[in-house]
Amino acid sequence: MSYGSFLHLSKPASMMTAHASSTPTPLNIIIHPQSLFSILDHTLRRNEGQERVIGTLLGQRSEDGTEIEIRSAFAVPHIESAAQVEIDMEYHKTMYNLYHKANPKEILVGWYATSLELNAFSALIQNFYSSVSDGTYPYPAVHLTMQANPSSDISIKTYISTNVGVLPDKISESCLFVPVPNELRYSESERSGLELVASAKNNENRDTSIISDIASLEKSVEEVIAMLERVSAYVSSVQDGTTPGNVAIGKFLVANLSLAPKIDADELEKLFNSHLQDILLVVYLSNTIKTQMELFNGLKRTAVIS
Amino acid sequence: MAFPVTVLPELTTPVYSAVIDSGVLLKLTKHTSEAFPAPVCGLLLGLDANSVLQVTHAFPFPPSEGSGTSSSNDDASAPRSKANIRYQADMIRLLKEVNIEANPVGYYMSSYLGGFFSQALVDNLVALQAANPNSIVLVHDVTRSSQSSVSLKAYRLSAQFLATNKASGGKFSSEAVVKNNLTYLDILEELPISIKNSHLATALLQHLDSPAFTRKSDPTSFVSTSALAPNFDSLDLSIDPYLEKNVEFLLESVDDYYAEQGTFNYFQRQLAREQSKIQQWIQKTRSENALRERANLPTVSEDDWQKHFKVPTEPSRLDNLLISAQINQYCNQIEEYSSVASSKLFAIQNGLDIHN
Repeated sequence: MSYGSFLHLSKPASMMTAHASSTPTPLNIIIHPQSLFSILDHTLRRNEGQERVIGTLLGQRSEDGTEIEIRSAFAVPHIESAAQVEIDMEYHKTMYNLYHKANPKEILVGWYATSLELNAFSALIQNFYSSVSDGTYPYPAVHLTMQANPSSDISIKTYISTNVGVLPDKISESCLFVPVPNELRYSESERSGLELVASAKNNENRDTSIISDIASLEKSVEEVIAMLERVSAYVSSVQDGTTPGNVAIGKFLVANLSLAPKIDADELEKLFNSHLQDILLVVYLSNTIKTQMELFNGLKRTAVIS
Repeated sequence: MAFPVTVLPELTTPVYSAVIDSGVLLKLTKHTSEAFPAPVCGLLLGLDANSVLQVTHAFPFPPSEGSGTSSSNDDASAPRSKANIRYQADMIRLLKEVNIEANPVGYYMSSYLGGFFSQALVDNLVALQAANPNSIVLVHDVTRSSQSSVSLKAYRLSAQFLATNKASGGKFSSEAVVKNNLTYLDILEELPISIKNSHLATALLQHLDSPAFTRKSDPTSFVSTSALAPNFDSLDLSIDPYLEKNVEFLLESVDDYYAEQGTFNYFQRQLAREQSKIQQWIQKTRSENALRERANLPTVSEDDWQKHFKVPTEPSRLDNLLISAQINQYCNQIEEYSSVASSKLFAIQNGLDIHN
């Protein structure tokens, strides 16, 4: 998503004027990568002839309503034809209840669709999701569109909507979708999961296996070495005069390199040895325990057999 | 206690590895890490075909009611509680409408530093494997995942274990254990896992990595905050908290082991005493019978000792097996961790020596 500038329109007064002034508009939407994968999965499983699929977004709202976090998503079956659109609302309600039981902290925040176009049907669905009965009232519902067409880039756009009145009898079909900036965020443990998944993206058959600790350590060290090599190549080319030097980069490098600690050689020896001894002690202990277990096991078996 | 059985146990071909969809992995890690340190579990759905078990979807079980006090056992046995079976049936019914496979292939659970060998695990797996012999349990160790790569293992009860279970009717007597060649190392067998991305997911990952998506949070800094920027937490040097906890758990398990050993020894002593008493009684009746025959009185059968003495029943060896397996697990973890930590130490020493 190119991070351009966003024109943020304040939400004009809507039909529910009494409460409109107190509901803040979301200024930022945070998406967890897991929900994106769910949406893609749903796209893959859509029925024949369905152009786009829709579903519900669940997540959390910050205290003041300015930040909405989208944490998970589930699919809702719907039928769309040129003339009309049908959503299985019962399904949405039941599924939402089940999901809510498992994750009490997640509430309804909006819905998603897998095509970028916004048409009258989108407006209808948006109004359903913002409705009083079991929608996100009084907060605005978030609409996320994801272009999941294999032939073009995947782009994610998020909107909130307001009613824009053209004709009073068509009010339920008209909506002004206001784009809202979004960003991707994840927690520490999710990050390693995401990294693992991402390591498969360059492979031929799109799969990867769980790597052991040592192997991942090796990977990290190799990455650091590559980074250092790039930096040193840059520095030597600046020294040769082949590349114009950049004062900001130079200062940044000096600041970071001076962070290397200066330790007395003896101190280092002592620290290193004590650390190593701790580790080795525990390893010997665990090996002894394992050997003893094996012995016990063997003795028991002979005791029973004899 | 019925799981929705969609496949007859006799007709399944065995699987030798598991392929997990990337979305499932992310959902799993999100659920277990959010609920940390409480143990949680959820169900896995997918297909088993071509000797590979494909896990395509997963959903978490709701936390049990009244959780907070003594419910760690309830959560661990969530796949078998009545409320959850209903929840599961409802969920599967709804998911079928959006074309998601309605075939349970196992369950996932979180574990704190590898302590997952428990009675609940065994019961869950026995029930699941009765419905589908290819069921697996995915164990996600949250503490290790936050340090380095994701720690996810797939296990399944081994054939010897199931045979012993059936042969001894759940009691695990010593002879059944020896006859079926069951050691504590053979309780669970591990399946290799591979993670598979769909085409769209691969496209998304490529897109996330592209410069267009990298957002510089601060124009004056050069640190990119792309979603897929490399993570160097694994180069951290501190070992104490992790190693300490591990050793603590290890010592606790050894204590449990000795406690269990004590009960078994007690049983053995009791058995020996009863046996000697029975022998004495048999001798007595034999001599009495000899006297009675001479006096033409009815003899007392020697097998009547069963009416007078009760032989103590042998306690189940299952606890012993589980605790031994647990101890083994902790020891292996310590070894793996130490190999990484010691390599880092030697590398640092080498690096700083150059400066000196």
